Amino acid sequence: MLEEFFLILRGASWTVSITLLSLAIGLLFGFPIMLLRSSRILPLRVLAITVIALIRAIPPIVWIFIVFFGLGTGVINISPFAAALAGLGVIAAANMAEIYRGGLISIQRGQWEAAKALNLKPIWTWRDIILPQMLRVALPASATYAIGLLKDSAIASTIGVTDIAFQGARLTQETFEGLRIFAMVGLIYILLSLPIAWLSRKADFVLRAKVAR
Amino acid sequence: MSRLFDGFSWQDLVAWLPDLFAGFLISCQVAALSLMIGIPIGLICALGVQSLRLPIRAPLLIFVEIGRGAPAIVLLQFIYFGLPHSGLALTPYISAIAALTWSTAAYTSEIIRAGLDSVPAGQKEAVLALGLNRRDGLYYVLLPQGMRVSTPALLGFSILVFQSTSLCFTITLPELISRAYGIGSTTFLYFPALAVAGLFYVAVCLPASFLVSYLEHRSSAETSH
Amino acid sequence: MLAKVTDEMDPFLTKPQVEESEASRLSIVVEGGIGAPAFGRNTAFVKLEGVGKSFGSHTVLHDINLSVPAGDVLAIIGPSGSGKSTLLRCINFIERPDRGSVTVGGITVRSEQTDGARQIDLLRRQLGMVFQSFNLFPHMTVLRNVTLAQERVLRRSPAEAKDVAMQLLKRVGLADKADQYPSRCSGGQQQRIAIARALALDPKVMLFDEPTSSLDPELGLEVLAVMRELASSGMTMIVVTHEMGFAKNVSDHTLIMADGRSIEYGPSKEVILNPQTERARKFLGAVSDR
Repeated sequence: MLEEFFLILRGASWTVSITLLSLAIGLLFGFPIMLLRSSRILPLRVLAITVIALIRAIPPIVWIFIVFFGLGTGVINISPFAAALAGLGVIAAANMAEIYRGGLISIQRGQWEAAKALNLKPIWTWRDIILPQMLRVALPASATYAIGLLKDSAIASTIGVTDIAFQGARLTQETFEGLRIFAMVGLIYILLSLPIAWLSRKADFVLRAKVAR
Repeated sequence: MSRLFDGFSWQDLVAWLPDLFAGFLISCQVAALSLMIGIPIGLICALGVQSLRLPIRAPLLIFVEIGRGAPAIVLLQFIYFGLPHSGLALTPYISAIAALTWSTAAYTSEIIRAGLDSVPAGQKEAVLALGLNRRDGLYYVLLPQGMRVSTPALLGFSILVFQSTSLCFTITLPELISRAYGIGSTTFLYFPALAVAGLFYVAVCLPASFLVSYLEHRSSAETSH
Repeated sequence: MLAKVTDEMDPFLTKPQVEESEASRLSIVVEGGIGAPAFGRNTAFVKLEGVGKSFGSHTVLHDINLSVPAGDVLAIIGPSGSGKSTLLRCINFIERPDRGSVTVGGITVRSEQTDGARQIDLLRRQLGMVFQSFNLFPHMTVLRNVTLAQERVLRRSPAEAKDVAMQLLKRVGLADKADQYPSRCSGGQQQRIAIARALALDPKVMLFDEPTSSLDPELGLEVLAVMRELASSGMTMIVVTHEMGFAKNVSDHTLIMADGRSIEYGPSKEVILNPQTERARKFLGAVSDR
């Protein structure tokens, strides 16, 4: 049984890299999208709202299929790994935009007004006042989303990425011990989510001290 | 961009629709049944995990933690590919409903628990002072208020359940995506087929998500009068 | 000088006059009146013995002993944090005392009893409670608020429950609000409805936890009027309050608490106008200086 466990773990590097990289894409691109979403210019705002809603309305597996089979079989040659990253990354960006926005609107009006009264230039306002508070609020939701991404990464196995779910499925076909193997696979995903939850609690604790209300 | 639609015509679309629609119906059925069975079980779990008796609390906790912690696709494969090796072989349809019900029960138990916790403590005290027993207190006072709070989140989760029926493709359920993929593999018009399938999802999930936003907006407006 | 007791069985008579002896710790049972059961003399209807409560390392109640005769109106006053509310809530076990025992109408529950659910239930049946934050059920009409427990706990028929409810709502002056939702009622109205809801279960003792503290002075007056009427009809009442007027003029006895202990107890007028202890003097002085 231990041998099976380690066979399944061969997929761990793929799972972790897909999760971390799509999270990174989401964290990075989610910010400009959030800015568009909160823009004062109506057409930009409407565009952002529509795009975010569209991205989130379509299931992750469908996006990945569209990228891998839809684009991949005609337009460009794309590896399963890249296709999974593209699909999950785009979805992550849309979701992170909403999470950032949640953090942004939680900041009281007074903060903006105080900054203006102090004559702070916009960039300093953002850096020193808005961002710390926004991130503190967004952190728990981001951690929850990261755990969700970890689970969504299993979808990549359907287009051939040799991640944990893939290894589990293959092993089942070879050994016919489906019950035990899939139980182990599930357990591994749960175990992998624990450090994220722990880190998030730690970070929340630290940030709470820094951004006392 | 237009290269993606090479060889695709409106006649193709019309020819595909019956097939895609049949798949769409199966997706809807699986989602609806999973929600209808899963949410009541979620309610039982929400109440049961707070039980003081370990023989009740422990199995429910495990049920919820695995249902929430494991990817839905793994739950699906566990039930469809894994169980037969131990004697229980279920059809794709039943397996899909079983797995998504498990997932639904697990997630909604947390949502409902949060809703119940948000009911002001004074309500529970009034229930105690009046002498209402635990069941009546829940049924008449705490649950009506708690569920009202949980409704936007439950609706939001229902959207996700509908979306996750697409994962049932991997256990050979003939739902929407499997139809689109099938069309794609015979015509090589993957992009158009998947795009149309995507539009089906958009048609359901987009209005639903606006409804959720509206409900969330309204409930936060109510509490801040 | 022994206490003179009038022995009237007519429940709607105003409260019988009782003269207390010098030893203010003596409590004599008064029979007659809504709040009094057919009970033996010289027994307290509500008795707390050695009641203590701690939250973690913080002791909120130290060894409280209290006897409340049937038909008595007891006011509990004292500075914030003195444990008054906690004490009241220990009587109907909304807070579980860590030490001591509570007796109401012959039913005793000790703090050590872990399986006293049945006993606690019997205890609560005799007690009605009115909360500082009203705690009406917001998703039901006023009428339903008052009939629900009657039907579910006392097993009255819907018709009977409605009758009793309308009578009580009339008594507190809110019969016209029966089909409205609590959110459409003012704070004073909600509190009066809460009183009706508690009375609907025919309690022997009514507990009031700072009933007017959440109300404007004006709205508080309506509630105090209802409480005054209740007191004169003979109900046994234990009232935690900041309203000195009520304590002085309506209640029979007053208990002053500070730092989780009972500091003084006695006939209200004596305790409030002529406190014996330094601590009580300090508190009452602060109150009258406002």
